[in-house]
Amino acid sequence: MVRSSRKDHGYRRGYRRRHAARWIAGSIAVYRCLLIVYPRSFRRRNEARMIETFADLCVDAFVSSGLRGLLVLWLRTIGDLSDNGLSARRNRRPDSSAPQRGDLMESFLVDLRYALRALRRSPGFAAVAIITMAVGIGANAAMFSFVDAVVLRTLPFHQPGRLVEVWETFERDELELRNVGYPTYLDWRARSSVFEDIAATTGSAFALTDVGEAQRIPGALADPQYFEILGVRPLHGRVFSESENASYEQAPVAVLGHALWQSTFGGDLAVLGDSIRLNGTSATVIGIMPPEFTGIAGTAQVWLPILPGARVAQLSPALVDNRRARGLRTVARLVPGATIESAQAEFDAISAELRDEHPDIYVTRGAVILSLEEQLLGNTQTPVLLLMGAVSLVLLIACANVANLLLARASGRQGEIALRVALGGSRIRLMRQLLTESVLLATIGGASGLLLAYWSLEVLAAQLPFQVPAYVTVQLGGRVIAFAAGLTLTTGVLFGLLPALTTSSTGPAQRLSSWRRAGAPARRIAGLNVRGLLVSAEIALSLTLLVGAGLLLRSFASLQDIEPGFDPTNTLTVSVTLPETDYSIEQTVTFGNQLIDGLRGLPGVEAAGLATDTPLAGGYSAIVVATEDARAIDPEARTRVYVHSISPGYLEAVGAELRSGRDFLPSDTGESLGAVIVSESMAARSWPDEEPIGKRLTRNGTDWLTVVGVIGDIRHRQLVVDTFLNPDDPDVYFPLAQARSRNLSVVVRSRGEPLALAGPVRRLVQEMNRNLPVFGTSTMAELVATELAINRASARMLTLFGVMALLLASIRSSCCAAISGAAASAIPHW
Amino acid sequence: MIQLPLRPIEFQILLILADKESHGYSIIQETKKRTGGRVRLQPGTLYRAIQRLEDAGLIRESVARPSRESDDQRRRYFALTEEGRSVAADEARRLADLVRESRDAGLIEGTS
Repeated sequence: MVRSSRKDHGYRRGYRRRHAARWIAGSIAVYRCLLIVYPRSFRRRNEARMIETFADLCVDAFVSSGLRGLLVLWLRTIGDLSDNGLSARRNRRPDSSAPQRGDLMESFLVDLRYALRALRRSPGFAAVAIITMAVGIGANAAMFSFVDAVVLRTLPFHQPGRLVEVWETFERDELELRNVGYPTYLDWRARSSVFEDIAATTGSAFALTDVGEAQRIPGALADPQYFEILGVRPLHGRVFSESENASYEQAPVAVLGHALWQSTFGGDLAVLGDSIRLNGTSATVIGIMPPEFTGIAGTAQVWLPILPGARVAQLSPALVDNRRARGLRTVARLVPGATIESAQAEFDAISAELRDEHPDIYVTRGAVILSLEEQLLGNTQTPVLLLMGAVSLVLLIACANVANLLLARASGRQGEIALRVALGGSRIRLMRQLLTESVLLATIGGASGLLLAYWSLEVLAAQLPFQVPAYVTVQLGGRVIAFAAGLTLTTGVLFGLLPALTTSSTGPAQRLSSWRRAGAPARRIAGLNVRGLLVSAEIALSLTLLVGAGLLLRSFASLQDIEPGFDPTNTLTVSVTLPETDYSIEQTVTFGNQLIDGLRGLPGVEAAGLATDTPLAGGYSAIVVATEDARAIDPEARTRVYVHSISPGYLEAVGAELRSGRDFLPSDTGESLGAVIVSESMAARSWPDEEPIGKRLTRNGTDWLTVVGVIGDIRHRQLVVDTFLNPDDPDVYFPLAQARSRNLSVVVRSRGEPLALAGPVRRLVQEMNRNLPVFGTSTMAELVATELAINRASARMLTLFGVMALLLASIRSSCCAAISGAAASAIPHW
Repeated sequence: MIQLPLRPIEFQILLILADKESHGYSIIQETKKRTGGRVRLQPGTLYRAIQRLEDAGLIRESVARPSRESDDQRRRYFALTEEGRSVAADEARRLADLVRESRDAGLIEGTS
C-alpha cells in the first residue's frame, strides 16, 4: 500500500474518529429519548443497560459500514422499539389483549407497528416515497450546510460581530474603495475612540529557504495588536511586541502557523528562538499560532511585524512612510456599544481633519467602515440563499409528490379503511394512523436524505468554489441535522395531512359501496379535486425552477461571451520572486532575459514572456500619469491608470491584440524618452480623435515616455466589471527592464497541453537558482474558469434542481397508477 | 417463576452465560455468531428477556468485574445463578429428548 504521508494519514484518521464520535453521540442521545416508549418500571431497571448496548452497536455499525451501517441499525431499532415497547406495555397488565384507553404511547406504538407492517407489505411504494423524500430533504440539508457556513455561522474569531474593516475611499466619478497607507492608518489609530484598537495588515508570500526544498509560504504582515483584536493567542511562544515593529530596517521576528510548524519543522518546539530564512532575510521565530488560526484571509502560515516585514516582503519603504502610497487593509474591534454608524460618523470627522491638514493629499479621500463578516462572506450569501430558495421548491415538489402517492395508495386501501371505520374506528384514530405512516415515511426518507447530503457535500463543495476564507468550512453540523429533522417532521405531517383528511372524510357505507363499485374515485376536499390540484402545483413549481435555471444559464452563457482581451487557451503562467538580498535590479533584468531565452528553447513553447502581473491573477498596482496634451491645458491634469511592466514577447504569449504600433523591443530599456504601450481605452480617453502613436506621457512630470503601441483592452482585474472594487481604469504597459520589481510572472504559450510545460518550466527556473520557489502555476483557462465559477456553479446547481424536480414529477405520474392498483389488490375482495 | 419450555432467546442467553459471564453487547454478538447471522438481537428484545430471566432468578447482574485488560470496566456483566444452570440443564435435556425422538421417528439423520 502506498502511504503518501503518515502524518496526513493520522490526521485523516483522527478527523474520521471525531466525526464518527459525533454521529454516535447523536444517535445515543436520540435513542435515550426514544426509550420513553417503554413503561417507566422497565426503563428504571434497563435504561442504562440498553443505552450501553446500543452505544456498542452504534460503534460496531459505524466501524463496519460507516453511516450506511448506522442507518440500517436505526431501521432495525425502530422496529425493535415499536414491537418491544408495545409488548412491554401490554405485559404490565393482567389483561393484555386490548389497548388501554388513554394510553397514548401504546396506541402510538400500535400505529407505528401497523405502519411498519403496511410499508413492508408494499415495498415498491415505500421505496419510491422514501427515495423521493430522501432527494428532497437531502438536497435541502446539503444546501442548508452552505447557508449555515456562510450566513448563519459567525467567523471563528472572538465576538466577530464587533470586527470591522476601515477602507479608504477615493472620490472620482463615483466612490471607490481603496487600501490605506501606513501614515494615514496611524492617524486613524491615534484619533479614533470608537475602536478598542485597529491594526494594519497585508497579505504577502515569502520564499522559505534553507529548510528542505525551497517553498513559497503564504503569510501576512501585521501590527502587533492584530492578534489581540481578533482575540487569538499563540499556542506556543508569543506574538510581536511594539519594539519589534519599530522600524523598516530592524531585524524581523516571525510567528509561524501551526500547519507550517508541523509540516516543515516537524512540530519541534526547538524552532522557537531559531532563525529562518524568508526571502533571503533571517527572521527569529518567536511564536506558533493555534491550528485553527490562519489570519483573516484564511491562508497565512507566517506573520511578520509590518515595518520590518515590509522590507522582508520587498515592499517599498514608501508603503510605510509615504502618505500617498496605499497598500494595506485594516481590521478593528468596535468598543462595546459602538455601531458601524457611530464609527462612520467619527471617521467622517477624522477624514475632514485630515483634509484640512493635508489638502493636497486628502481632497478626494475619505474612509468607510464595513463589517468584516460582510466583507468576507457578503458576496457568497446571495447566491447561496438563492439556491436555498430553489432547492426548497424541490422539497415542495417532493412533498406534493409523496402526498399524491399516499392519496393514490389510500384510494387502493379504501376497502381496508372502510372496514376499520365500519368496525368502530374513529375518524381521529384513522387520521392518526395515516399520519403515523406518513411521518414514518418522512423519517426514514429524512434519515436517508441526511446520508445523501453527507455523501454529496464533498462533491457540492467542489462544485461551489465560493471565494471564502479557508476556515469557513461546509459541514453537516448539529444545526443542519436539526434543520433536516424539522423539515422531516413538517413534511411528514404536511404530506400526510391531505390524504388523512380526504380519506377519513366520508362515511363507511358510502366508502364501502363506492370502492366496490368503481375503485378509486377522485379525492375531494370542499369540492376541489385534491390530486388534480397537487399535480398542477407540482407542474407549476417544476416550471418555475426550470425557467429560473434557464435564465441563469442564459446569463452565464452571455458571461462566456465576454471578450477578455487575451487568449486563455494553451497558456501557462507561473511566478517567481527574486530575493532582494541576492538580486540587484540589474541582475533581475539579466535573470529575466536568460529566463525568456531558456523558455523559448523549451520544446512545445510557441511564445514566452514575463510581466509583473498576469490577467486575473491578482497583484495590480495603479499610478497617475499625465499626457503631454493634457498638461498643456492644465498643469495639474492627471489620469489614474493601472500599470503593468512587460517583456518583449509577452503580448504574443498572452494573446493580446496589437491595434497599432509595435511591441517592446529588447532595446526599449532607457527611462528617459523610453517607450510605452497603452490600452485602447487609454488611447480613446487621452487622445480621442488623434493617432496615439508618438504621443507622450509622464509619471513624474520630468521623464517623458513615447507611446509606441496600442493594444486591445485586457480584462486584468475581473471579467465581470465591478466598478466599486475595481473601477475600469485604463492600462499602461512599461518595459519590464524599467520596472524595479523582482516579482516575475512567466507566461508561456504552448503548442499542446499547457500544463505539460509546468514541469520543464519549474526545472528551468531551479537550474538557474535552486533556492527560487516556483509558485502560482495555473493555466490562463483555469483563471478564467475560476472567475466564472460562481456563476457557472449557480447555473449548474439550479439546472440540477430543475432536473430533479422534473424527475420527481415524472416518478409521480408513472407510479401513482401502479401503486393504487397494487394497494387495492393487496386487500382480498369479498 | 419461569416455566419450561424456555423461549429460544432465553435458552440462548442461558447457554451463552453458561460459558462465561457476558455483557449485553457480547451476548448479541455471540448469538449472531452461533446462529450464523440469522438472529440479530436488538436491545429491546435482549433486555426484556434478561429481565424475565432475572425475575425468575436464573441470572443476575454480576458484581465482579473482569480484569482491566480483558474488557471495559464500565460494562454491566450478567452471570448464571445455580438455579439458572439447573433450569438450563433441564431445558437442554428436554431438547435432547426431543431430538432423540425426532431421530427415532426418522425425521432427521444421526444416531441417538
